[in-house]
Amino acid sequence: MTVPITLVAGFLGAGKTTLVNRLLADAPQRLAVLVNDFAAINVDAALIESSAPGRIALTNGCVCCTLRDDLVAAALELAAADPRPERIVLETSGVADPYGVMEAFLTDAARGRIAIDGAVCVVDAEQFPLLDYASGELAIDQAAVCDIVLLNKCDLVDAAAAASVEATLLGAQPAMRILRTSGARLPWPVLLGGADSASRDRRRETHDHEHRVGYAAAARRLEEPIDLDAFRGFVAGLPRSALRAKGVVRFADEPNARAIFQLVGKRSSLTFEPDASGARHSDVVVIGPTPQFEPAVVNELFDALERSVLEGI
Amino acid sequence: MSDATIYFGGSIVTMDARRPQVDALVARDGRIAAVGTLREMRAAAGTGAQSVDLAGSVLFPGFVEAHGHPMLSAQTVGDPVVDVRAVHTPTYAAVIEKIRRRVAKAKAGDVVWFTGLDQQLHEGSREPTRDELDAISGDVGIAVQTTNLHAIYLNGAAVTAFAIDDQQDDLIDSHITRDARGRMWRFTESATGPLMEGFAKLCGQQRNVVALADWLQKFSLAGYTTVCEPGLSPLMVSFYRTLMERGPLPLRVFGYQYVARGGRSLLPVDQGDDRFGVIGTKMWGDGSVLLGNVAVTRPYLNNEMTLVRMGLPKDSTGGLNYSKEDLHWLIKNYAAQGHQIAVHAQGDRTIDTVLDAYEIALAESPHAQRPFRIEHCGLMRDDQLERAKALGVVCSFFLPMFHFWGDPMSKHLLGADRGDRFVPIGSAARLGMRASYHCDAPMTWPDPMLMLYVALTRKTYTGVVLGPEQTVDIETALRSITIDAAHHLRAEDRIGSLTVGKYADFVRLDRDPRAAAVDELRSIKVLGTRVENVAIRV
Repeated sequence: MTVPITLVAGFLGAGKTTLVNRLLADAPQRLAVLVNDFAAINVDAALIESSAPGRIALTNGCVCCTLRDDLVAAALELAAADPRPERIVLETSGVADPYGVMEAFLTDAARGRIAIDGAVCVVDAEQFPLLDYASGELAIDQAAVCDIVLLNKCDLVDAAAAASVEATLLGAQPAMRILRTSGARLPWPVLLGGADSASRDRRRETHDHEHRVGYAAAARRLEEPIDLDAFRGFVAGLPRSALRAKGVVRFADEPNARAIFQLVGKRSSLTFEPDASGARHSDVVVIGPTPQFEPAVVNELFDALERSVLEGI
Repeated sequence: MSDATIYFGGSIVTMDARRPQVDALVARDGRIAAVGTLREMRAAAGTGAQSVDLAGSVLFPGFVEAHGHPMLSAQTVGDPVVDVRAVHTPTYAAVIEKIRRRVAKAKAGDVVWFTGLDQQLHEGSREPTRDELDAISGDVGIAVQTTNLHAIYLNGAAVTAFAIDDQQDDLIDSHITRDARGRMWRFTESATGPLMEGFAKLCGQQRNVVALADWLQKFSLAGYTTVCEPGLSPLMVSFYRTLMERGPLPLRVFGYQYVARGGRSLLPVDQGDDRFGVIGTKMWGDGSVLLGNVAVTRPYLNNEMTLVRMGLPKDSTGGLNYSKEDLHWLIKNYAAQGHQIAVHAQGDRTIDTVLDAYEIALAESPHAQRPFRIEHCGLMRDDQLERAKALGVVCSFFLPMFHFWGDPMSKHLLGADRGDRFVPIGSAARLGMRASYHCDAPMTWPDPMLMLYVALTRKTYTGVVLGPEQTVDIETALRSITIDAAHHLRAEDRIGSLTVGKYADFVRLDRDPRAAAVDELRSIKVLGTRVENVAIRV
């Protein structure tokens, strides 16, 4: 089993560690976290099960480690731990080029054991316009290669200022998926993909009374194999607020295979694997933050996909 | 007190067929003094010798990069040059936005330089027009260079800043394209050199020398102990000389001077002190496969990529940078001056012309410095390899180009049959040719392990195998970055193998590439190098 990795990038002070802290607190998954600065991880002492130099284990099964020079080796080591983490979260250095980090994980040694399946970049809406040229360009480059961008600290700026930063970011990467946040508050399913048993039109709110940030999901089971082009059209038609989607899809052209569908922000993939089960159905769930994300819009796309199956397009 | 050092305790791979592997080695006075068993080496080293326990690691002759450009990389990568490569700047519109942001920070009269425009990889890519660049700024000079460095687009302020005169040189002038209103705009091939020189001067000596030191360090950390820089100007050599005044270079540098108008010698051509020397002349027979300006016998494919993004005419067969007559004359002229010749040639039609010229020059100049070289050899045909072999001409293959651009070249530019045999290293090996493989920095970063991997797998960046019949075995691949590359540089008697009497140039690896699984090759680590008397991390 490949252990998925979520990359957390962003310029110095943008809110990466805050995001990591929230994921550690909220995620019902066993996370292994690689962070820059151990001390910045704000873990209640009562939650620490054990600690060793450069490593602490939490009572909820999560593990935190400090970054080393050899990121890939560190991640491979974490992925081989017992119990195996369900996901690794890797916080990059504030001056790192996340593309370089992603490339480092494309080695044969990593193949089949760990893989980056999503990269999120945090941008500081307040500080971004004040950065010098070189730092600003680095922050833009970081955002441009990531799948989801959190425009963070939006509570500290007015709407016009946030829109101006968004315009600059979109100029650098027209496909960028930007989500405005404050305090890096983001429901974990939007980043990490949610639980596997997604039910139709499920809505949740996180227990955060200051800033109510929620997410919604649209899920569908399609009973018959799907046309590949129709599915591609479905993915292309998803609204920009659909930040995460996944599923198991069976295509009419590939009767002995199934495809694992993953979407993180602007990145999506289909990975085919042999399937002798004889099953014909597909399950797909699409997740996004409320109120921008409207499940009804996705449900219409699901309906169209269903019709294409019936009509044999 | 002996000044000898004994290396032992690991594998020592010599790349010398007479004695391929030994237990221990003695270095003395910067040379390899003896190789053999540990007992023999202790006797040979005498009392007081230093010992280096390799602790299970592997010693190889230092890698030799037959074609890389430390100085050109220093000039074109890193601040103040703005990187607009598609990895970070995915679309043409985003490139223009990046240019706007940089220009907004500049003052009137400044020149800002952008490198990385990519017709294949930038979505919506096209050539920036003179009007478009002028609209971004009328008083800040803008230069936009393609990833392969073979084309630069200027706005009016940049044309003024670089003080380009019409008709200063016929060849250069032939590579300057004017727009519909007759204004200079696109500079390709030989016309790029003066612009890059001009920008290097604007950046000042200190910036260039510091960046050069960084790049030499990159090569050294990758395991190279010798690099060949094909294409040196007096200005570039002055940066090397300044750096050498500050201390020894971390690896040997052999260079080839730029071809010059009228076949002149711009630089004294000799081996120097073997730490830095200019050994011949480099010319560019054609351009870049990715720009469409290489001469081929069979046309490029006709599609959106070639016709729209690259702006090629239908059924384009590209072209040479020189007329046949001019190329023949230049090669003969430099050969007669005792220069070794290296000609950049990607297209098979270019290679035909180069081989014709080489044949004549070699016959007429018996004292010409051999071997004559062909650089990159992307579309070289089997009959051309045979002809080169018969003439004693050597081929240096740009293997990572196949790795990084093999997919679009095969799919959009050349078709699968030509894509499959792009850089035909397997064919060359079957003929028994002594080839070298190179990374051509800054086109791709110095990475010998990547070359071994690609040579053995023919895998492109996306993991697709193109042309499995063009793979080679690990021994051939290793020779191409050690002893056979040294042969290309006419330095085989001094470097390229761990042979008694040669320079003590080593690279130390954590594992032996000959024993590693193919998939593990890229994760082999370089632990350090030693060049003559200077050990870097060994």
